[in-house]
Amino acid sequence: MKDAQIAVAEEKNTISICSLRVGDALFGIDTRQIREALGKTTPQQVPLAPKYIAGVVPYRGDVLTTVSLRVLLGLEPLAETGCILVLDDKEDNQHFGVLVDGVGKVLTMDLNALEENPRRLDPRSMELFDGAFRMDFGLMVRLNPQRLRPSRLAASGIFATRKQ
Amino acid sequence: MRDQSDKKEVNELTREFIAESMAGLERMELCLTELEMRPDEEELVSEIFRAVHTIKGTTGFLGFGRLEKLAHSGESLLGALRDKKLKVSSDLINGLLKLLDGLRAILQLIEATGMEGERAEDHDSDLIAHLEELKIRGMQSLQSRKSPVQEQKLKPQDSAPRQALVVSPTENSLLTNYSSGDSSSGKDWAITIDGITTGECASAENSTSQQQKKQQRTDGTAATGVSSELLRPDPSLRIDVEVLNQLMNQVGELVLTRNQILRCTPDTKNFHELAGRLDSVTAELRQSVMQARMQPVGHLFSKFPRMVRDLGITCGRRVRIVFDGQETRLDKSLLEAVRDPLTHAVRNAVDHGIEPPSERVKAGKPVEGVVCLRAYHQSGSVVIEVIDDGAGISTERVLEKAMERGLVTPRAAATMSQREALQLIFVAGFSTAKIVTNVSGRGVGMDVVRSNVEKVGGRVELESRVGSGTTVRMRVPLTLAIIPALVVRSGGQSFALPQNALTELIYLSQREAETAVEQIGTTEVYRLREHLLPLIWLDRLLNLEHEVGKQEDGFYIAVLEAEGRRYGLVVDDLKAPEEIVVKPLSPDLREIGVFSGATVLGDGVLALILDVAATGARAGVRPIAVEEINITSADPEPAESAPVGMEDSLVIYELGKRGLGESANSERMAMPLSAVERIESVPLRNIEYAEGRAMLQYCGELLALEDEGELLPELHAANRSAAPDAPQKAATVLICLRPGARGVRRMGIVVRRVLDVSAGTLLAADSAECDGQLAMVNQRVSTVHSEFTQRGGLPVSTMQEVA
Repeated sequence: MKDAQIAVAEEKNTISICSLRVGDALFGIDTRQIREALGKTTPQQVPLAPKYIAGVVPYRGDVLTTVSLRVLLGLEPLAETGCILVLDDKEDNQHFGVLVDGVGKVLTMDLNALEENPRRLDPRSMELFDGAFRMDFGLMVRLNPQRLRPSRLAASGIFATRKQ
Repeated sequence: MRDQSDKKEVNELTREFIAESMAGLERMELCLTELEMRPDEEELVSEIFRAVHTIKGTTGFLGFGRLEKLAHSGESLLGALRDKKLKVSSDLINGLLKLLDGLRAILQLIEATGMEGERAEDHDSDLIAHLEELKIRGMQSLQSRKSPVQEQKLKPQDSAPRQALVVSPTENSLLTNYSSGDSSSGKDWAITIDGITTGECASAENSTSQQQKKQQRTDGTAATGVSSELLRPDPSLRIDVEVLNQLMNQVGELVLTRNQILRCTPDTKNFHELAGRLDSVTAELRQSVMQARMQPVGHLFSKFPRMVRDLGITCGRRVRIVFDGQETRLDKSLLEAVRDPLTHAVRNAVDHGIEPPSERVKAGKPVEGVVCLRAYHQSGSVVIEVIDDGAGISTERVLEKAMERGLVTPRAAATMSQREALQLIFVAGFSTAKIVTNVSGRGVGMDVVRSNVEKVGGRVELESRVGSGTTVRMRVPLTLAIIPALVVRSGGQSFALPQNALTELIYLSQREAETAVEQIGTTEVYRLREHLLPLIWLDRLLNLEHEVGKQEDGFYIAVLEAEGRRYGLVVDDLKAPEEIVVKPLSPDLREIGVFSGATVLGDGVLALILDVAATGARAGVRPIAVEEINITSADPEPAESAPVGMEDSLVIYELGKRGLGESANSERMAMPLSAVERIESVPLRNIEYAEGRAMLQYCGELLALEDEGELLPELHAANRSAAPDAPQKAATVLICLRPGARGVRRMGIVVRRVLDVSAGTLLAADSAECDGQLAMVNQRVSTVHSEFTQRGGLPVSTMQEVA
């Protein structure tokens, strides 16, 4: 059933994208790559963890490490709680969470409207972004969950700043 | 489609066959070692025969020709044994063990690749020929009533074990390494095994004569094979169907209760009743799951007879292994966790514990040594003991070795009790073995045992009596997943402290804290009874924001101890103790090293579980090598030559109003009594000045006076302002013997007053943190005069020079 759906989507050259908001920017993640969206949840902070780790939240009997997209983008963490998207870490066969300010509608996007990252993007954005969709009201940056994996972020070295 | 499902069925069948055969081989291994001791036991022979026969039967059905052939030759040999055409000899047992290894290697190959390795087919023929030879020669020798033991030649053995372990290139690296190592030198074998078994065979050749070399090597291989087997955690688990049914029932009940709760509205009357039911169902379910996870320790023990046998041969010892309490049950994960430490302890017992037969005879003991593995329950934990009746551990040698390695100073060693000395064995890099053997003695030893056991919340104890043996006792909790913990708050967050590391809780009000917490350099310490307890502020360590307004409320000190590190953790508040369910953290958070996991508390909040040992290490608390003498500071190196923990007579005095830091209190100073010759009250007019330095004529000598407290100007001023007829003030001067570059010289130290002469304990201190060494006198901290610290009193010889 699901396979059929995907097949149809691919035929039409469109994908369904879940839109997210961080600060003033709009982002999108392929819905097939999202395991679950948790409502307003405040992660428990982990002292001494890298700054981009928002903390941990309980999820289905496990402890979910959550990455703050705000911090990754160089913004200050918000005092109010955000939403957490649960994503698969395909390498470790585990899950992790991404903390965003808000989750918006699911949009069906034409893959033809996807443009690659511009060359002159700063290294942080280059690392995180996976192209962008040109839309009527601006850009929606596509994110690739595999690029947000905590282990990858740590390995990249660009974001590895310890909390002071 | 159909084809696929067929294939899958075959695979499942094969997997089942492998699991069954492995279990059969395990039994066979146990029986074989037992058979060697009791060769007349027919029951054992039939059991072994059955194991091989089953493999042969099933394997033909599954179409594994190579396995069948080998099993068949083994079966015919065993058949002859069963029919009493053969006699049990150590060669026969050796041959059968090789058969077992061969069968196991093929099974492992099938498990890994699904194939039995056709390419290596011809290699089995050696082993088969060897078995055949054993059979024929055994039968001949029985007929001619010759002793079969003498007659054997070692030649076939040389090649046989290699064949047993030869594998196709697709096999895992562990096994391939053995086979490649065989061709070059013994050293190669040791590489793939982890820390505990490293160097298994490395020096086999050094320690044995040329003639024995081959025998050694083959045995070495066998021993390594066993330990690799031991290290491999068993991925499957056998569960009693009864327990499984019980689990299903309880899950059913849980579902029913959930349904009822889902239907609840806020004003449902029996909500409390439902909550109670949920509670009891959960508790029962937990009990059942834990029960299902419990495995008899016998599973673990059963691997040892073979290991002990092979080790015994390698080390030239005669050893028997006995078991007690095999039916004691332990959580599977813990069973896996004690596997390595236990292997190590048994290895130690055979190699270091049991003496060679000749020595045993001399000591009037039975030639055969006994290693006893015993398991039993004791106060909520399982105790596993490894008892040997060997030579025991000589404390003198332990101390000698410790001094040699600089782990303890001679003076400290002189005062150590036997128990304290034995604790030194757990210090890293320690080994008392006279020669490093191929089995143990590399100093990677008891410290690994201890840290492995403590990792799962257990403890290791050591008892030993010279001449009569050693007992290594491991205490492990029943289960890992659920542990009792104390929840504390610090910096606005909750943290869980495992109860087993918690020894004591202290509350300090803010007013008490001002006096009770003393500062040594940058380290703050609390005097807990006889000892100084280094304090760690959890919020500072974790860079948490300090809770404002908490200052006046005082705080709690949780006295923690793990892996030899003992310290007080300062937290803002305590919450209720809870039984927490330990959840692992993701690898990148585990890397921080301070948290061992996380848990969801009763109020739904996530709390991080503190790794007590790692926290102490992070804060720079040094592990205490020896219990009882346990004042440590952040200094990772043992204090140079200052005898830590030594009792010494000290003169306690006060200098002036110049303490450490800004405190107005006069600092208590101490000086070893042995360095003080006299305490003089010197009238001020006797003190003369030369080039701005105060001097005193004393016994025809001119002494330089040290006036660090700047007391002399003060006294002069007091004299001047006093009435002319009032008695002149005098300065108190300690006449000391000061060690210097040009021998010992006398000097004077001006002090405000001498407080006391009493016995005190010199403490280790970081020289980077404060100038002087510290001493504990009458439960108060005193700084030892800097000139006299490093020596901890003068050496007697230099004293005499002056006298």
